[in-house]
Amino acid sequence: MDQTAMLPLFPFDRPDDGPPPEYEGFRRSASLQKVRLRNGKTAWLATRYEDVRALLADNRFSSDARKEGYPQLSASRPVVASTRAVLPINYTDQPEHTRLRRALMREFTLARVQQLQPLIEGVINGLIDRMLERGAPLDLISEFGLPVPTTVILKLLGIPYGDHAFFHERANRIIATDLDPALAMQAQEELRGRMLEFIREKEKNPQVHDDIIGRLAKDQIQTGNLSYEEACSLCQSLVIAGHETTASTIALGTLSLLRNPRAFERLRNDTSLKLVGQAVEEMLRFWTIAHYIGMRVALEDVEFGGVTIKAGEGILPQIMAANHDPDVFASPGKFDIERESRYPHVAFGFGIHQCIGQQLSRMELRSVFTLLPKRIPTLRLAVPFEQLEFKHGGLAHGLRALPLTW
Amino acid sequence: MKKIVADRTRCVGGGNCVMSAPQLFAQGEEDGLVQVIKERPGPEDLAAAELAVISCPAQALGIIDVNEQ
Repeated sequence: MDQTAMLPLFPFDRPDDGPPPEYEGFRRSASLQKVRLRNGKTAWLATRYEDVRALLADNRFSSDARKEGYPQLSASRPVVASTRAVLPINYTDQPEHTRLRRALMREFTLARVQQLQPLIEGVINGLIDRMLERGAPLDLISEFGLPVPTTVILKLLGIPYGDHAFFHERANRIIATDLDPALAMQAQEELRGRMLEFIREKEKNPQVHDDIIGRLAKDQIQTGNLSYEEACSLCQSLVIAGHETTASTIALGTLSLLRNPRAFERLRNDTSLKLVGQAVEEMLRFWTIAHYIGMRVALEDVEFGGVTIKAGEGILPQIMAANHDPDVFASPGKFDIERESRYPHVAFGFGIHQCIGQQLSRMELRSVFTLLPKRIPTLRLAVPFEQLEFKHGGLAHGLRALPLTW
Repeated sequence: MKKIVADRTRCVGGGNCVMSAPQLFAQGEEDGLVQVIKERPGPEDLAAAELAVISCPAQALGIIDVNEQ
C-alpha cells in the first residue's frame, strides 16, 4: 500500500481569519509531521514556534528552489522567480546570500528608515487626499494599500514618477495567482528590462543620483562587487517583495480595526507612538500574510524533534503556525492591540533571509495606522463582512478588495 | 558582570536589536552591521538586551558573564 497517499495534503485550506485548523493537532502531537505535496513528493511540516525558529535559523537547510527535494507547492507550476536570469536573493544560500544582502543593508537600517518618515507620511497623506476627493465608496487596496508601499519603494529606488504606473502594473501581474504563468513571466521580463535601463543610465553618472540604484551603481557595480544583472535582480526583488505584502497587511489590518471598534477608537485618539507600534506588530502576527515563506531542503541528514530529516528532503516551517502557537501567544485567535509576549512574532521570517525591508514595512504600517483613523474617523465597511472575498491558494493571504465608505 | 557581544560576520541587518534596545545597539551607516554602543548593560538594560538576543534572526548576539577587572 502506498503510504504517501495516506499523508495529509499540504498546503491546507486557510480559513479567512485564522491558521488552518489542522496545525493545532500537529503541534500537540509531534515536532514534525510528514505531509504530501501536490507534486506527489513529501516534506516535513513544523508548527511549533520554537521549532519553526530553530529550523529557519539552521543553515544546514538550503533555500535554493532549483535543488531536488525543495518543496514545490504546485503540481505543475515551477517557482516563477527561479526562471529569472539571476537567482533571486531569497533563493540563495551563504556565502552568495551574504554578498547580495550586504549590498543593500545600509538602505534599510532602522535609523535610515526613521529619516524616511516625512517622505512616507507625505505619500500616505497624498493618497488619503485623493481618496477624500474621489469620495466613498472605494476599494482601499487599489486606491491606498497597493500604492503606499509601491510608491515608497519606487521613490527610494529613484524611479521617476512618470514610470511608476509601468512598474505598478508589472508587479501586479507578477504576483497575481489567477493569471497564466506565461503572462507573469512576460511581466517579469519587462520589469527586468526597464530596471536594467535605469541602472545603466544612473551608472553613467552615479554621484548625481541620491537613491538606491545610484548607490548600487557607484558602490557595488563600479567596484565589481555586483554585476548589472545581480543589481537588477535585487531591485526587482525590492519592487515585488514590497508590493503585495505590506498592501495586504494594510487592508487586513484595517479590517481588524473595523471589526474591533474599540481598537480603532483607541488608535484614533492615540498620540503616543507606542500603541500604534504594538497594534502593527499584532496585525503582522495575527494575519501573517506571507504564510508559505521558509520552504527549505536539507543539505545533509539533520536530527530534529526525534526524527532524521534526510539530505534532500524538504521542510515546511510554518510561520503562520508559529505565530498562532498558544504556548507563546495566549489566545492566539484574539486580535489584541495591547498583546504582551516575551517572544517576537516571526511574520517577517527568521534566520538569514528574514525580510530586509521589515523596518520600512513597519514604518509604513505605523504611519498608515496613525494617519488613516485620524483623517477618516468614520471609516467603515461598505459591504457586510460576509461578502468580502479573500484570496485563497496564493502565496500570500489577502483580500481581493476592501470596499469602504465613510 | 554582564557583557554584550555581537558577531558581525553573522549579522543580516534586520534592525531587530536596535528596535528592541536602542540604548545598546546601533547599525553602521555605511554597512548596516550591528554596533554595540553600550557593552556593559546596567540592570535596567537587561530585559531589553535579552529581547534583542531572542529577536536576532541570525543569532549574532549574546550576553556573557565576565569577571570584574
